[in-house]
Amino acid sequence: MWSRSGLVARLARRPRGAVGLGLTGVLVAAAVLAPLVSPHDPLALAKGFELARPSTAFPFGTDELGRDLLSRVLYGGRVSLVVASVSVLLASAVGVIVGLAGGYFGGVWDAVIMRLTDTILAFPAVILAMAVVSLLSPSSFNAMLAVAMVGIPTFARLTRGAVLAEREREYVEAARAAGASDLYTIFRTILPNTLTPVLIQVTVSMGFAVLLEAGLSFLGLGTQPPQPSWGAMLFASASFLNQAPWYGFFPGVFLTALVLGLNLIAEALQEALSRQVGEY
Amino acid sequence: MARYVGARLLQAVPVLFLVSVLVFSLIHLTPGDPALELLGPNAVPEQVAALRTDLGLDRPLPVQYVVWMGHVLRGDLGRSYLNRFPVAKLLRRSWPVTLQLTMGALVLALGLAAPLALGAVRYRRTWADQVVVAGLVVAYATPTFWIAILLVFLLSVRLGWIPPSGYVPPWEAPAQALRLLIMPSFALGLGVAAVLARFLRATVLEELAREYVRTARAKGLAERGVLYRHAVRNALIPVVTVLGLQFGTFMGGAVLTEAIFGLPGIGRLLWNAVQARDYAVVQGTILVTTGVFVLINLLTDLCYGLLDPRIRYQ
Repeated sequence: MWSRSGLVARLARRPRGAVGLGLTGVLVAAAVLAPLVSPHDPLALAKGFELARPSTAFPFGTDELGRDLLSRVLYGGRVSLVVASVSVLLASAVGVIVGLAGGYFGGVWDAVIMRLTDTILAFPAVILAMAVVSLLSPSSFNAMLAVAMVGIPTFARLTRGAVLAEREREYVEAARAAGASDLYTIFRTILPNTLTPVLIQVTVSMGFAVLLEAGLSFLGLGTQPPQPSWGAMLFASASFLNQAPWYGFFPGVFLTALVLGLNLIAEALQEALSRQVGEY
Repeated sequence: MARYVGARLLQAVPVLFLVSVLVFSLIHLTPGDPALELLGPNAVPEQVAALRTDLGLDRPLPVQYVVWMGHVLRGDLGRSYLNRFPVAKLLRRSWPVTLQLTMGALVLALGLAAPLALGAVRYRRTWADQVVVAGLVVAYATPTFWIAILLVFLLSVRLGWIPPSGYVPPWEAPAQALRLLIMPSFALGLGVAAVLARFLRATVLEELAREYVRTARAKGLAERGVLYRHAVRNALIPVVTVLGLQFGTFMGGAVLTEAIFGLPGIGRLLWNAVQARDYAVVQGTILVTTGVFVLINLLTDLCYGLLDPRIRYQ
C-alpha cells in the first residue's frame, strides 16, 4: 500500500496534479472558511442594491434580491462540496460492499447484482437523478441520494472485477486455509488489495458529482432557495443577462474551476497509480 | 457474426425488462393515488373508486404490470395527469426537437474534434499540441448550462446575431430553424467534442507507434498517407464506442440545454413533468429515453463488432 503523504507529494510533482491540487485546495479552503472570509451574510438582502455592479462593498455584485454574490458563491461552494463528497462516499461504500459480495460469493447473488447494475446503468445519469428527485421531492439531501444512486453501479462493477482477480490468488487461499471466516477474508485480505481502482474512481466521480448536483440545482431539483448554490445562481442569472451580465460569471468560474481541479487530480492519480499497479 | 448479434440481443432483453419494471414501479412508489391525481382534489370517493377500477389499480401489481406492458407495446403510454393529453402524443411531438438538437450537437462535436485532434497529432510535442490538450481539459470541465449562458450573452445580448431562445420546425422556416439550433448544439456538443478529441488524439498517437506504421513509412508512404490511410482508420473503431457511450451525456445535457433555450423537446417535457409531479409523463418519457439509450448501446456494440472482425469470436 502507498502512504498517503507520499501519494500527495507524487501527485504534486506532476503538472496536472499540481494544478488540480492547487485549484481544488483553494476552492475547498474558500468553502470551509466561508463564514470567516465572506463579507456579508449570504442570505441578507441589501435594500436598494438589487443587481448592483461589482464594487468594493460587493466584489462580485449582488443578485436580484440584493444579496452579496461573493458570499453566496463562497457558501454555494460548501453545498457543492458537501453534496458531492457525501454522495460519492455513499456510492463507493454501497458499491464496494455490493461488489465485494458479488465477486466473492458469485453464483445467483452475483448474477442478480450484475443485472441490477446493468439496469441502473441503462438510464442516462441526469434522467435517473431527475426520476429519483421527482420521487422524493427536490432538496439538497435528496439530490445527494440521487447522485449517489447514479454512482453505485460503477463502484460495484469495479470492485467485483478486482475481487474476481484477487479471489484466486494464493494469499486468499492461504487465509482461508488458515481458517479465516468469509467476512475476515473479504474485508481484511481482499478489500485492501482492491482499493486502488476504487480510490481512482472516487476522484473521477467527484468532478462528475459536482456537475450533476449543479445541474439538478440549475433545474430547481437540488438545493432549494434561499440557500445558495452555483447551479441555481446560474439559472437565475440567465434572466438578467441584459442588466447584470456579471451575475452568472463568478458562479460559472467557480463551478468550472472546481470540476477542472477534481478532474486533473483524478487524471494525475490515474497516471501515478496505474504505473505502479500495472493492470489497472 | 450472427451468434455475436444474437448473444448481444439476448443480453439486452433482461435489462429492458428490469428497466420497464423500475419505471413501472415509479408510479406506484410515488406518494398519492394516481386516480386521485387524475381527477383532481375535488373528486368524490365514488368517482375515485370507479376510476381505480377503470384503470385497473385495484388489481394485483403483477397483473397491472402485464396490462401496462401490453399497452406500452401497443404504443399507449397513458394520459398526462395535468392536461389528459396522451403521453405518446406528447412524446411524438417532442422527439423531433431533441433529435435535431442531438444531431446538431453530434455534427458540431465531430466537426470540432476531428480537426483539433488531427492538428494536435500533426504538431505533437509542440506548444500548439499542449494548448489544444489544455483547452480540451478545460472545455470538458465546463458545464453545458454555463456554456449556454455565455453563448446567449455573447451572440444574443452583445452582438444581437441570434435570438436568445425559441424554436421553429425546420419544415416551416429552415434558415431560422438552423440559426436557432446553433447555440444549443454548440452548448451540448462542446463537452462531447472535448471527450472525442482527446480520445481520438490518444488513439491516433497510439496507432502511430505501431509496427505497421513503421512498415508503411519504410515503404516510402508520405506522412499524410500514413496518418489518414492507416492510423486514423484504425483509431476510428474505438471512437465509435466513445460516441455511443456519449448518448447518455447527450440526453442528460439535452434536458439542461432545452431548459435554457426554450426548446420543446423531450428534456423540457421531462423537466416540466417532474416539477408538476405529472408521473404519467415522467414514466413515459423515462421509459422511452432509456429504451432508446439501451438500443443505441446495443447498436454501438454491433457497429464495433462490424468494424473489428476479431470481436465476433469472443
